[in-house]
Amino acid sequence: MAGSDKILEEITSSEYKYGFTSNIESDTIPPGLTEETIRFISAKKEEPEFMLEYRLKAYRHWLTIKEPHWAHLKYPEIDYQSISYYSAPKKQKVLNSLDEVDPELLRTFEKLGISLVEQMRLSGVAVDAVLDSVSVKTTFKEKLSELGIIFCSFSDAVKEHPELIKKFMGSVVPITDNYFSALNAAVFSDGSFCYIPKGVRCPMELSTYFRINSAGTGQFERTLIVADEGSYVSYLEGCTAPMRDENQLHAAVVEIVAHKDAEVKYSTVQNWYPGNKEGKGGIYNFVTKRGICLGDNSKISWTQVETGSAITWKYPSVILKGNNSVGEFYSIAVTNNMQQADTGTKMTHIGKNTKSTIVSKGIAAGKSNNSYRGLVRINKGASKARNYSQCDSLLMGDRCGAHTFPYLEINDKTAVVEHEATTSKIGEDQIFYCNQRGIDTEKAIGLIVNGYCREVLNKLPMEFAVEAQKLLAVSLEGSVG
Amino acid sequence: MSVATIKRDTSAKWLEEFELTAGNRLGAANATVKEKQQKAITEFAEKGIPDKKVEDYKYTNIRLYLNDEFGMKGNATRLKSSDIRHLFLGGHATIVMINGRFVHELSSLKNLPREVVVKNLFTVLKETDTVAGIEFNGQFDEKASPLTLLNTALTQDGISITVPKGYDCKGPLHLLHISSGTDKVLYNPRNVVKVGEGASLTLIESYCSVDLDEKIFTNSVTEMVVEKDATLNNYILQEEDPKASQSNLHQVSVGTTGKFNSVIVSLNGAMVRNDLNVSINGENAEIHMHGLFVVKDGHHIDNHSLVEHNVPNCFSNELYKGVVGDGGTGVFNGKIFVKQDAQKTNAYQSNKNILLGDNSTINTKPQLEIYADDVKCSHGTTTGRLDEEALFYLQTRGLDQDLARKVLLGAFAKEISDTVKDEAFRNHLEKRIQVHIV
Amino acid sequence: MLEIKNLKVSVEGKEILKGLNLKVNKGEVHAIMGPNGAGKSTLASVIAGKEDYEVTGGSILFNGKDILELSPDERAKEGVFLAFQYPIEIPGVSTINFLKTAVNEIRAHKGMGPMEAKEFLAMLKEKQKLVQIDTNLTGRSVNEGFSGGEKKRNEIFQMAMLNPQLAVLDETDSGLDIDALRIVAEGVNKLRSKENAFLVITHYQRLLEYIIPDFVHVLYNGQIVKSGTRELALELESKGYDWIKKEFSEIPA
Repeated sequence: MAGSDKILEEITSSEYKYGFTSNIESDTIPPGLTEETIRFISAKKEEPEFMLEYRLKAYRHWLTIKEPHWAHLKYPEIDYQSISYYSAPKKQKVLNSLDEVDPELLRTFEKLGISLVEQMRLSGVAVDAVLDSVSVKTTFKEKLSELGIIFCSFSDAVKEHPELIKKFMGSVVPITDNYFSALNAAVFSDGSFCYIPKGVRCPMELSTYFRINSAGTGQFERTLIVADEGSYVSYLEGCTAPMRDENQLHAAVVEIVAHKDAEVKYSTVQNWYPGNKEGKGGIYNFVTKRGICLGDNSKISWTQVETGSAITWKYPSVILKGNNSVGEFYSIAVTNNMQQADTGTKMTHIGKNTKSTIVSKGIAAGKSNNSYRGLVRINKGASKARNYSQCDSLLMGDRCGAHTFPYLEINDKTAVVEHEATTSKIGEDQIFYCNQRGIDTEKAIGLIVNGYCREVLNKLPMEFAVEAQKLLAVSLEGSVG
Repeated sequence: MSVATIKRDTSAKWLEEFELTAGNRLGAANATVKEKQQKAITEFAEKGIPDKKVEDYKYTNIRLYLNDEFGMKGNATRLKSSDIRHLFLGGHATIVMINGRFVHELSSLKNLPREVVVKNLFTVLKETDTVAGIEFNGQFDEKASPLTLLNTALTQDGISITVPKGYDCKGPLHLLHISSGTDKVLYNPRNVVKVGEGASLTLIESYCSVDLDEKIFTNSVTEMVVEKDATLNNYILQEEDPKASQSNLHQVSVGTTGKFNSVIVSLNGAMVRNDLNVSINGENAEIHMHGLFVVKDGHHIDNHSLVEHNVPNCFSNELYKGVVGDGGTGVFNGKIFVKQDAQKTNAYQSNKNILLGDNSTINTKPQLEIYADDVKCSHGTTTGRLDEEALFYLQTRGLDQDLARKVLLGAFAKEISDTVKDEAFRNHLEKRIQVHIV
Repeated sequence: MLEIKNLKVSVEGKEILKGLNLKVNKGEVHAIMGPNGAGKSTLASVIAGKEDYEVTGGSILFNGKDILELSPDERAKEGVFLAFQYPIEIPGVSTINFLKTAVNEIRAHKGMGPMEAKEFLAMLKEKQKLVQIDTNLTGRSVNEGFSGGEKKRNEIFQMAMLNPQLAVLDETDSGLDIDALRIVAEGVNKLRSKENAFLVITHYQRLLEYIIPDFVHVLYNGQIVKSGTRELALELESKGYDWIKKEFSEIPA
């Protein structure tokens, strides 16, 4: 093996850095899924009747459909009866300050480098921290409520804003959409709800940190963002998970509704536990994320940095219904060791003069497989629709795979659709050039990969971009030097 | 339950035909082939005629074009030489195939070099188990498509062409496929082409209809082997009657430093589905694949291609262009597959489409599946209108809009027809393209 | 500072350098000239530590330390700089970020902490002026979309920023017009000091009109066959390389 190959291998075989587990007593029900389980969850959460009905309807539909297997992914069969569908930290009394927060939890956040204290004091970011299934802490609520912005846990929204939930929940991702979203609708634990009223520009980035915590517990988050006419919000989601041996199922649903002239930016940094070098353990991440540009001139933009999970199945999508609406998807997906990712987007053009942009950067290392799968659909009548897609793959080492599966369905003669894809490896000459300037190979790879992803990183909010850049380097970092 | 019913429905008919045609099928010539036919029909019965639920037929529902009303027997056609003379190209040696069968008396073989062996597949397999060393159905594994299985099971005959080691066949060989008849028939012609080590061949295939009064479905499979240092130029023109549908699969194996150049031009037919599967099995091979499809009036043209880079240091380049007029549906589905060992692969794929009509649809799916890191692979696809600025520019120079469009579309198509090296066929192609493109 | 002894180097089994000897002291500028295929670029690459070259014999001492065992980045940290004949493009990585990383890596090697942002920017400005490089070039990705001349100037700019002890200029003059050549040469001359040394590899004498060498060596067939002063370069210019070829065509291996 040539020297640089060896270094590449060492670098790309680094182990997960954020592996730890925090110890918060959980209130967990035994594994298994029946109507009783669903009634238990709903009762435990003190939900109104309509929510229970919704869950049961979803569950009954879920029973009639099969798990999809069209993605370029291989994993052992999931036993849905071996999963526990509810766990919550023990109810705590209402807190007046951070001092009252479980110090264990605070330490957990600090280890992640996203201390709540720092977040609150310095960056002006309101944090709705979700640990396992129940919201533990919500901040900046008052400041936001002055503007009429609702930002709360999904459970609270169900109780406090049932009209909004009834109206919009399932309006973008219906119960019947797919296997995993149906499961989520039946058993979802908690998540976030966000409503930005007419004409309001949300003055801060809204953010939620999701974490999986209790061993053997599935995670079923549900997020709903509604941006009313002329409003704007930037939403951040980031996660990392403790190291463990069992496979964990994660099936989240995110729905976004953008009304006329509204804009929603949704940014994700995903770093769930990817499993060890041999592919043991790791999160199975089956996520349904979709937004609808309901009104004219609306815009939804997805940016994601995916470095974690053993299995990633994720296609943040936009339905461009309003005229002149805009959909964007910017993605970086890194897979290492035995990870597998099948990720991309769906852009459905319905309105006139609609525009979508797709930029995807896949980086495969180790023995991983990294696939881009995307659909661009131009309906008849979506006149002058435009799409531009650029999908690049970078291979690091000769035992990984990089794949591109775009689907382009064009039914209007005035449409202009362009798609480009390339596959290459990191240039040895680039590494040598960096070496010659005193930069060692490990740092050189980090530098080159970050450069390669620049276009996507630039789309992230500043503080998130820094974290993402660190994460990219960490994901490919190893024992060299 | 319902899924099982549909499967039985679309395969039951052909299981019956399988029994009825036992004496005429290729298996009657050869016991090994008979076994293969039996195996194929069993596998086909599991799958049935593909519809949109099968990923490879996502955009082309074969059940719309082939159903139980079709049979396997047609009235004998009595075409005279004068009926088809106009379809001959220059002085090329011409093999006439009517409904998939070689018709010697209508063919023109005086310019066929005697080194090149052209025979009925049935005749060949009656004598020996292989066609010049090529095993019947030898290139297909368990991934064979349902229609390939159907062809393997039901085929009765086809043509075999072999060029011996070291022979450079200068003049092109023209395979003239004619559909004709008055019955709804499914034909399953099966062809084998072998270009021996260091040999070369230009093979033109043209598909047209003469006196066709009823819907037909031609399910053709051609196995091609290009051996070490050999060259095969394979030019195809499809211009059938709107009553005719065809699925046309070419399975090509290319050896070390072999060259395979393919040009497929599809201009007419109710439904045309092409599968061009190239398996690169020797180093330093070079593959060029070009295609043009012009589709309108409720017709459907689907071009599938697969390039498998199994070994290092090979080159493949693919360019398909589509012009979709009113009511037409075009499909492009290309896949580049690079195996882990196939380092230093250069593979490129491009698909460009122009939509002209109000009810035009194009579905395109360029794919890369890559397991080697030291490669240069890319694909790109664009779909749009005719360049309006160029259109305007031509109009300012005195061309009316129709003529200007014709000029631009002609230029768009020319990039493909220019890749045909045989002049007589290239000229013919350009004329036929002009007829269909506006 | 640099002492190359009996250096033998092969590429893919073919011997390119066949026992090369060279000594460079502090404050000196040495020019290496020679016909195409003599092994000039091989010498530059081997000093920098490029992987494809197999050293089959001899040694390279830098400040008394054998650097053949060091990785390319370790050599750079010790103070060896190579201005590439064909500088590499690194898309998405800004020249500023690239240089900040390099400067701080080299500082860390010397046990120094990272440079203050203010100090770094001041140095950046000063060096930009020195080599007359357009400020917007440094904001762009490393060499991406640069013209040939811009790339070469960027190499000299990087050299100025990293302040190496030994700079090897591999055909820095190739592809430059006369103005760009002068700017590059002026940059080099401003950076000359008693503490550093230059190894200027070139095919033509032209560059040496601007960068006056203390010594000129002729590399032919993998060995240094002639050494002299500036006059040797002029002689080569007027006579061409043919007489060298004739004189030394039969070199014993």
